[in-house]
Amino acid sequence: MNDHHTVSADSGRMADHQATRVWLSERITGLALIPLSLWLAAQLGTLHRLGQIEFAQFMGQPAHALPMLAFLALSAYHAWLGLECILDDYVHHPLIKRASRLAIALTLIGVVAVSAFALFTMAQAAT
Amino acid sequence: MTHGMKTRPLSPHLQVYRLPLTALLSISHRITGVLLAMGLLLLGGWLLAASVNTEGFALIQSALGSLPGQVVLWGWIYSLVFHACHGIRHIVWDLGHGLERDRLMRHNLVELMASVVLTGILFAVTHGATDWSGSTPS
Repeated sequence: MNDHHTVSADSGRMADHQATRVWLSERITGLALIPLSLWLAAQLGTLHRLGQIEFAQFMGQPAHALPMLAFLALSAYHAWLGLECILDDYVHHPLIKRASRLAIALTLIGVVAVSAFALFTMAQAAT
Repeated sequence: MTHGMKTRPLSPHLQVYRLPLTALLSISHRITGVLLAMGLLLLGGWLLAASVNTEGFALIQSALGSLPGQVVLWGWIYSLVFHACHGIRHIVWDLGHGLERDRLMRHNLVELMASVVLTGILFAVTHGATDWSGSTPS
């Protein structure tokens, strides 16, 4: 398994473009998340007042569902990169680390999948 | 790691060292990151409830509208804004700027003020100050 954060026996090969790609991915997703986050924060401030039907009609519109999905997908990936760094810093036991990485990956993928399903359901009901 | 390493005593460090503001902001960036990741789960649950669970959704909406709910919500929003502000600073550092000691302290304060002001603006806008948020307040 190519764990790009740890040093292994072939650390000469590890010192390749993986680190650069991770670094770049963090920055690119981070930058894209800035406008999406401002949008989300503005929505969060008001959406709690809506009943289910109005909420579903609102979120079901592509103009709202798409940025929401984009925020979730980009955040999940950005969070994955950040949480991997945290694991690297604090978790050293190889099995615990592997289990944690798997749990985090499944959870994040699950959140995006569930949200996509929910948004799609609301979009269908809205039309 | 050898067996002996687990039982070696360590000198106190985090319990006694007074961290500079830059270091406090750095660990806050990490802490807010974790809080934000956890919030993603709740966000997904919220959307799911809205799409398939009428009673659950009503429960969540009333919880969000309550005072403790608002505190948690705006705490999360502040975490988001803070994390973004410090993240921008990381990019500034990546470009090689702001690494001198006096700049670091000045930017610490700029960053903190920006995060508070931005959250304040978001709060004002979502409570009727202007109308560009796009949704209808009840």
